[in-house]
Amino acid sequence: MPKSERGQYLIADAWSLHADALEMLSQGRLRNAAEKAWGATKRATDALILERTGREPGTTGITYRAIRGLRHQNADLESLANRYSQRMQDLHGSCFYDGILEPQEPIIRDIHATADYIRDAAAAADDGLGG
Amino acid sequence: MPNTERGQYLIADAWSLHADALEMLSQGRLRNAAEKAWGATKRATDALILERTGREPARTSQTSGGLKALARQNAEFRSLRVRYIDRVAKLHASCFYNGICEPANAITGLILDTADYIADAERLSDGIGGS
Repeated sequence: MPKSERGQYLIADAWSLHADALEMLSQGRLRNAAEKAWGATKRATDALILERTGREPGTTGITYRAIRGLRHQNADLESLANRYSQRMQDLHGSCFYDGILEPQEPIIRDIHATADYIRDAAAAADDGLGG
Repeated sequence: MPNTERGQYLIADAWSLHADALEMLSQGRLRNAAEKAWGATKRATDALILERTGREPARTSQTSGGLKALARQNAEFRSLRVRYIDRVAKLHASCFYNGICEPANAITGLILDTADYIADAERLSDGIGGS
């Protein structure tokens, strides 16, 4: 878990958004659920970046650049950075903005996998490798 | 109305997202509704830019830039851009990403006003307010 109060709040908010995503999925609202899962991804990533750099990203673009930058300094973040990029493109760009909801199976899988992403981001925020 | 099939699809998608926003509002999910209203705003703006320039924006930054370029042409586009910026800041960034959805009545007002925004973007995409 993040050490700072703000970091812990961001992770808690990521879990809240993930719960909302699962609720939307249960209502059959795939596009809606995808965006909630993306929001959870961004909040968890922001927590990680805050803990590693001391600065919380303000915009999606800053979050993207920060996680890509941290990846170069910390090999342990390579997988997380790649998963962030994939989720941004598939859940946020393709599914939510463009309304492309087929095939459904990988989208649903990505939504469920948000829990793993949040856990991994929280753990990476706590290991202090690149602090 | 947009003249192209793709432009008409984008406007229809904006109305669909707006309907989803209203449904989320009726469920008391303000943060969720705000993001749906933002999605509707982006899709309607994309339709306008497509009709006016022949190019559909791929990312949010391109939508913002495209509307900025149109706003140099006349007062109606400038007015729409002011509303676009207000919506991206309050609905997308503050409410959805940061979870700050206060004051709730102002956010609710912006969500409800999405119908006017879509209607105006739709009207402007038909050559009335253009170059």
